[in-house]
Amino acid sequence: MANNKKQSSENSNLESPFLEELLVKLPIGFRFMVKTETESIGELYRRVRFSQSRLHQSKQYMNYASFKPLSNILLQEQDPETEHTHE
Amino acid sequence: MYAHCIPVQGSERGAIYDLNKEKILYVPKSMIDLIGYLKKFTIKECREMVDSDEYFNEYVDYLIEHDMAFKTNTPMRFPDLDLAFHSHERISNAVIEYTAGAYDIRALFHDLNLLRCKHVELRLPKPDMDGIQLKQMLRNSNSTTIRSIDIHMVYSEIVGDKDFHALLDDNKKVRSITVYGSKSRTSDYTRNLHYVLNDLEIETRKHFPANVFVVNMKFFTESHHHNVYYHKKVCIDRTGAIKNCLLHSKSFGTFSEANRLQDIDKDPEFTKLWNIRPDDIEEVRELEARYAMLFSQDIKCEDGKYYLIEPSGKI
Repeated sequence: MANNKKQSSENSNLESPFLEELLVKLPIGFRFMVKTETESIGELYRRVRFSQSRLHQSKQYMNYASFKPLSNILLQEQDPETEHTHE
Repeated sequence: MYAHCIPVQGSERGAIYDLNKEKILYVPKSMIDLIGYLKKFTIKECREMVDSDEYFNEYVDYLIEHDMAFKTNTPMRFPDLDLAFHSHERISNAVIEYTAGAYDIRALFHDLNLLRCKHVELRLPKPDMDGIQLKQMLRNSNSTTIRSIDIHMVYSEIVGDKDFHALLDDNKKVRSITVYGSKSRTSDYTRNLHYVLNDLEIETRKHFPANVFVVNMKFFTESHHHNVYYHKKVCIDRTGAIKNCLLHSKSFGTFSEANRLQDIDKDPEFTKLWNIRPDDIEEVRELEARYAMLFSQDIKCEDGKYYLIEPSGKI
């Protein structure tokens, strides 16, 4: 079953971070691990260096969110029933 | 106590801020007093000071069980956390309200770069820009110190789902897009693209809720020295008026070629609110959660004391 999963992973261009020789020795769960570009995952943007500023002589500005809310706007999750009554 | 677990005394109860786990534990005032004694004296000495052994053991066990304290013979090896706050930005965050052609947005991004601004909230209250115009506007943030952009905009028929995804692909600084007044599209939570029913105009008029707490190391240290809401923040409204907060009526001129932002942080009138700490504000100085709260209300000074100006009369 694990091999089938591995094959399907290969078919969808998902590459395992481990070599096949190593996977034979590792527990079966390691076969389900695949490599993905951090750029494709919004939550991991913070690890991607992408910006620069000639003025500040830097080419390695990383993206990350502020540690505090930027303004007074805060959207909180609504109760679906309340949402329904609005409609 | 572990250095990241910091006790704060309030008027009715105390709180222990766990800055690693980013949570607050509310405790009785007497426990905060006991923690103060335990910092100065040994357990044996403290036990002698306290009337009840049972009460003492209960409090000490509670702190150890909740992973907030430990027993040691060498307390001098575990110094308190340094609560100093330093940041190199002249302006760290900006809230920009923009309608097409209201002012020179390119010059604004240029000035924010000079001020080393890191985070921008962009509000687009009118559906007057298509996807290409949005993309062009945000390209002004490339090659700047800006690290994240959050967009709040009203629903527009001329900006489709594909345009938003293209925008997120084109500009990775865009952290989230929230489209207001929209119920016909499906949010993409993995990309932080949200469609909500709420009205942007109503949301912008509300104050930050008082029951929402922000617990982290930077927020906690900054709130010991500054007003976290106003500190190093600049706001530009849809007419180009420069403000401390978009909820305020007071403005510091209109952003234009003649009145740029470059020296805004040197204006003592503009920075007046920056250093009014929660400890200085009468209504909140005795709240145990004051170092985790954001006060978006304007502040007035009467007889050398600071008070929040709150329209509803409550915090």
